[in-house]
Amino acid sequence: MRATCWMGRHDVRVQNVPDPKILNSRDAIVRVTSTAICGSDLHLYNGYIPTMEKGDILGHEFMGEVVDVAPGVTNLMPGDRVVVPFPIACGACAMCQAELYSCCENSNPNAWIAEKMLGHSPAGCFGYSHMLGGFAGGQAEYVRVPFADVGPLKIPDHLDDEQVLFLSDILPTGYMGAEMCDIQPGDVIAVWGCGPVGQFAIASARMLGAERIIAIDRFPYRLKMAMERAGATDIINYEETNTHEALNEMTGGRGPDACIDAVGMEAHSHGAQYAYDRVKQVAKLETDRPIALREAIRACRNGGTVSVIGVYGGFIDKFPMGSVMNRSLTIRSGQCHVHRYMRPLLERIERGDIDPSFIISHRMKLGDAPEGYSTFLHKEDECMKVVLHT
Amino acid sequence: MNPQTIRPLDRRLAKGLGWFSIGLGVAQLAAPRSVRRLIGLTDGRGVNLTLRAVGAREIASGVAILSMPGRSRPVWARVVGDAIDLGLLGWAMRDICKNRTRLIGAMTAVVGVAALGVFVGKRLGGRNNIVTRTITINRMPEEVRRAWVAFDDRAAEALEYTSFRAAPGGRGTEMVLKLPRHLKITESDLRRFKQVMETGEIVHSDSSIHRGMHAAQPSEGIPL
Repeated sequence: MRATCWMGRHDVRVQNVPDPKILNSRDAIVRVTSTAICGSDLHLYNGYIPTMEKGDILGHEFMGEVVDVAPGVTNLMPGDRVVVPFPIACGACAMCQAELYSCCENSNPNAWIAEKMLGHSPAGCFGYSHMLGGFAGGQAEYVRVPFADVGPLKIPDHLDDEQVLFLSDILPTGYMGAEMCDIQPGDVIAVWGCGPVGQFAIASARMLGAERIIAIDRFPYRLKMAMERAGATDIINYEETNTHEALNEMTGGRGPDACIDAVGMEAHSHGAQYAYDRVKQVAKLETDRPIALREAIRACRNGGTVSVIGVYGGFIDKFPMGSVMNRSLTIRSGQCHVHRYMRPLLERIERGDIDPSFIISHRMKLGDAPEGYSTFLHKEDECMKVVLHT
Repeated sequence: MNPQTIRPLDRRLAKGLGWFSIGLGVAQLAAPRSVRRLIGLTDGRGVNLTLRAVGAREIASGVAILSMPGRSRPVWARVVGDAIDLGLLGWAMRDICKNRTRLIGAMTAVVGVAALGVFVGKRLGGRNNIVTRTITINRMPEEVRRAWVAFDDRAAEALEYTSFRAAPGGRGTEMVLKLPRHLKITESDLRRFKQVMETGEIVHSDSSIHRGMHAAQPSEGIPL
């Protein structure tokens, strides 16, 4: 089969590799019909995630048709259309039973590597480094799905791929980001980053009843989409305005009730602080540039919540803990527990509360994945989301 | 890293060796001429370069000992370094000795430190030291014990060192193994046992089925 392989920094290639096989008794093999390039794939593309190997198959947002199931999978049959959640979860451990699926205790065969880096290991994940299990990803013609009796969600025929593909990751991730804000009537929510996850965080904050939603980014086309499609009420272009001052002005000097960091480890900004973080990151004195996170913490109102759904990999510098402690902030975070949200969000899609396909800007063939990565990275052609069809 | 029951004195001695290595290494790197005079060698570019190289090795060795507290391996590595140094000094005795008394003094010192290294290395790596490993399994203690006995030979052998206690709030079983060092059961072994208990089998990825690193992609044939 053909698959998108990571070959090094800024080097992905679509190569011929062996077809996947069943390795465990609860596996399924899925023929991928649609798959997407995630913003977090760009961290791999840019070489910021350790423990990648040449030839690793990328991709953790995918859906398709079940073509084979192992004997332990009784809820799926060949021919079923499914969306697959990006964290791999066993459904039986204490974390899964607490619905903390992205923290599954059994799905990462390389837990010892993650333990060394993170203290304890999270769940395994498709196509996202050996630290997270060394599982082949879904930007391919076929993919092996472990614990297929727990993860994949069957999709009714009347919904097309593009309406449901993002249930695999970014829609639930954005939703969880908003849910962690514990939104009350009248709340003001600020969202850093208007990429796909930011757009869905904005749309979810709207669904969950936020009164004002302030979108922060530097690309006019992304801010425009946030206003026109996702449901933001205000926008801040941080290249033109001082974010902190603008937020204060919009909120009567108090700050937003909750702040969502949908940016993560490769944040941009202008001026000395960006240069400072860039240098430290290049010199390996910090692994992540937490510029948006610092700003979100400082901007949040006293007693408010900072919800972190942007991906961080390791260590950050100049973390404003004094602001968190002295102002009674709550920080909530996590890789999305996708399994928990897929069904309710599918219902919302069916009801018409949201049509996630609005973010798709580029549709390509699987073979064009290298071009897709480059276009997405450089934000060429107003790129928002690349979907690859096989 | 696992907590190990190690006598505090041994830990302190190892730490002392580590700092001694760093101190000696820095002196050899920064002031090879003074060290050379101290140990009674003749002048020469080669002598200074060798002393610097030995100094760099000493620093690395000291850092290794300090960054792996309680581990015997870096201490043994240091002993090997001492043996090399003795060889070098013996060779120096024939060719570039300026002050025999000082050189013999230096060799005696190296033998002394090496002996201390052997003592500490033996104590840290000794069979009397216990390695603790723990894991929580989402099953009742009796069930976990039965499955552990049947898991494999090593598990059965480790049974007498293993306790199974109910986790607080009925959240499964906390397995605690206090193992003598010759029983090699790793955290990864316990994780695989947990996988079998909770999911029915050992969980594989496309790369984990291979020994050593392998790209995360399917392979021809299944090398299990």
